[in-house]
Amino acid sequence: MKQRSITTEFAKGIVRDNPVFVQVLGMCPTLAVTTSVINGVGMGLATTFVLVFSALFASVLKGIVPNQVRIPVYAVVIATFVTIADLVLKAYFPPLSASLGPYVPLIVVNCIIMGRVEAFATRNRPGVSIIDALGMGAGFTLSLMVLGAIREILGSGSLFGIGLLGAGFTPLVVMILPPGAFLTLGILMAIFNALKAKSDPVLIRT
Amino acid sequence: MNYLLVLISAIIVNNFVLTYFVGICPFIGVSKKIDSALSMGIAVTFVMTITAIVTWIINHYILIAFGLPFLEYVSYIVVIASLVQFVEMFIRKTSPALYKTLGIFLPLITTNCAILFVALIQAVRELGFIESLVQGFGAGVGFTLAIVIMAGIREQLELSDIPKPFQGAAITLITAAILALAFMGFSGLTSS
Amino acid sequence: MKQMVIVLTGVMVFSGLALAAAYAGLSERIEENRIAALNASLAAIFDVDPGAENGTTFDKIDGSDPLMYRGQDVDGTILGYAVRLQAQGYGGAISMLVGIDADAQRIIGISFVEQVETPGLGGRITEEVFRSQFRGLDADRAIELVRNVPPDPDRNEVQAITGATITSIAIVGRINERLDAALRLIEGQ
Repeated sequence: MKQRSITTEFAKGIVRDNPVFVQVLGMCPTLAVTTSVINGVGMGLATTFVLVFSALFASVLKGIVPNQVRIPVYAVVIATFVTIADLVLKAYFPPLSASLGPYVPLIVVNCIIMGRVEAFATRNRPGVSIIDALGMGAGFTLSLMVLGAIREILGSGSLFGIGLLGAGFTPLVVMILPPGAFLTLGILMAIFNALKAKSDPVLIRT
Repeated sequence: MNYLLVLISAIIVNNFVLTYFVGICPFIGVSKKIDSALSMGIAVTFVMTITAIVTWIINHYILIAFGLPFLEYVSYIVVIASLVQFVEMFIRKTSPALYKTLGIFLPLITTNCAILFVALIQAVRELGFIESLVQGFGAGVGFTLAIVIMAGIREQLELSDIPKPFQGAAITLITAAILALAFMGFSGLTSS
Repeated sequence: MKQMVIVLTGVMVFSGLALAAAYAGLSERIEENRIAALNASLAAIFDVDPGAENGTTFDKIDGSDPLMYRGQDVDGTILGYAVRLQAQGYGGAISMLVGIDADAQRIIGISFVEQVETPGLGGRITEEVFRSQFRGLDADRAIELVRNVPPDPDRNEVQAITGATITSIAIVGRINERLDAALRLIEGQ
């Protein structure tokens, strides 16, 4: 029973409550950094790191933090972990850090993190909160990977930086520009909705 | 640098929403009606301009002066959160009418990434004080422009028959794609 | 109220300490990365193997404006100079190095230390095809940017990257603007 509940807590972040396609949260990194798969994975993992530690922190502190100041307290905690993530990226993955640029500090205001902290971690035990955070992080990372893969293949003709479609392929440059980001996400979201409606007609979000 | 250039660049050429993807959450969430979009835009412009000034001062006179670059993100978010709270209190006291229009949007602004972005980008671009102020204001106007145009389009879309899976965020994003395509026409207008 | 103050202070202290520790532990490595990136760009300009033990040294010329580095080989012969320039590209600041030969006559190369241009478009400035066009151009004449036609090196021409005109204009414009000052500094050396 317990085993099953851990799996469900984790899995809900990937499909049922997918932060990008269902909850429509964390839009700015989703659109901005998905010009390639690598960027998407990097951003996804950095966000997951911050999410897990912030959720753990909020969950442990839930009885101690007075209600009136909880938002500033969580904001500071989140910003602290974001800075650590940023420093680690700069120290060990300088090229990735350079291509993610100012979108790493913007994790601070990624609504997924504050949302999970507020809606889940402050109401649950640390263990479950971490599972929930990992699931949401995984869902976020996967969404970014899918978006990054589509945009990189169509926009640069490569995947993970490796040429895929050969010299005969003229890259659809617009795919790695802002319009391509909006377009890809919009179409993916519609496909996601259609698939969900097929499997569970009641759940469709409009 | 020419201040007019910074202004035009922030409003249309490097529109925050359509080229840097910041402030997308309100752009999708609060763009159903023109008047609420406009109120949101004004509230954002207001907070953004003040944020630009305050974070510039903090960056130059505290973080750089005392060699504390690692406190940048923490101090910015604290400043933005307190600023929003302060602005909310101030407007409630001084102008109940304005509070009625902007009030509900102000708390949302704390997690609007465009505000934090304005603070971050001025540090990266090493802007001067006036440039930061102009950029903060211009970025706010640019945000307002984008969200009001979007609201105008969405009011029309209400009347059209959109396939079910596309309803809601999906069609909004596709509309944004066309809008972004149109705004790309402005690029090159102010290359420095 | 009391609890509120304690919690807020506690969180601030935790945050400050955690960040100070992380920064102390990582800043050295971050600085090393920065220097390594700069050295790799310098090596690319003077066409030497980066990190190879061939005795080539790059010295910063103190107080120069624009900032310059002098490249010397193991015997102390001056290989040339690298001028550090900043341009405002499409995606953000572009930090680049422009190499000039020891006689301040020709550009010997150009390389990029930091850039955040769109991959596949402006990002292609880092590719050899674009960078090699600058090699051998006259340093004391303005560089002309041409679009969609092959560049003529005799007329100091460089071809813009298709679809990334802004980035190309930004780079060439900045070089034209600042190179004179650098040439005068070299002649004064």
